Amino acid sequence: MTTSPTESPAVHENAVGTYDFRCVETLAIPRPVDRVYDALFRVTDWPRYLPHVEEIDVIYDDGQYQEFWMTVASETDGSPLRVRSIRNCRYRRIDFFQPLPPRFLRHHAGFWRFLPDSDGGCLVEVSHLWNLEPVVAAEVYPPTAGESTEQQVEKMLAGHSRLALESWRKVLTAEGARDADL
Amino acid sequence: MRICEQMVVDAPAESVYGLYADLAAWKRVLPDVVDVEVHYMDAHRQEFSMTVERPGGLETVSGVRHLRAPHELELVQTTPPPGLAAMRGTWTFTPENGKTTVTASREFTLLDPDGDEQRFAEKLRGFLRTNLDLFRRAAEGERVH
Repeated sequence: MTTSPTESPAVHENAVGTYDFRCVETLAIPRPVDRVYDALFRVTDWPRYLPHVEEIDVIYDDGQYQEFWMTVASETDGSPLRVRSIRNCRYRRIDFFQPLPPRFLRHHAGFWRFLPDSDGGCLVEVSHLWNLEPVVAAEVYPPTAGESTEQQVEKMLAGHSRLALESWRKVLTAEGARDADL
Repeated sequence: MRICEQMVVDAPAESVYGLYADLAAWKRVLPDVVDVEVHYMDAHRQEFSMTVERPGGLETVSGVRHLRAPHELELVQTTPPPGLAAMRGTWTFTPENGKTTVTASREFTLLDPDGDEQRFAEKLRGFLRTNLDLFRRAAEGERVH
């Protein structure tokens, strides 16, 4: 099943504003679009390439729809974090949501888009869409003189997006990436 | 294997779509639905389990739906019914002159590669026709009231 990026449901999502918050990060990766898409699609390979991903436990994968648990290293030297993701992988686009979001989020979803750039590389865009669980969010990210709770959450998710993009650029442009079928 | 069933509903697409999108309505509209448990829901995505009564006993399926109001509901059953390896598809809603054509498309794979696809397809068509008609009656009834 393929859908061109211009027909993306995200247009509707953003237009109707059913998520209160959104952040978008983009990065050019000098590898062909299909290679970049494929690397993000092949979820079982992630622990080989991404040092912070400790384990992927696939629950369902039919080539378009995927559901899996991902165990990632703790950011605070605590226990590893297990995150369940549900994805819909289509032509140059991967939609995702987190059915069990962290307790300060009521909803957490998003999508990756993979667009060809003029140099034969790929412009990768990742969007996060979310609604806060306001009381819990204010406990976890108390407002400060300089930053509101909302700003802190946005900063954190945007930071995760940039980290993911940078990690993939590093992996996909590393020496030997072509030999490793990346 | 892919199959498709259609039915025209005498109600606007927005209300017909809304009825199909509302997981709570399924138990009210479909008499064989025993329970619906919603695990996640926002305006565009749903994850749920549904238990239905079948001649062989209760069956529970789990699924995910992607909502594109008021045109389409895309679905995958990550835990499909017994005997199936995969089940996915769409409900689409096409407005015309105040009425709505509802199209149910399904793509399924049997667990047994030598299983009788045609026989299962006919059974599935029967379920879809029944469900389309029950939803039609509910949608048209809601419009009248």
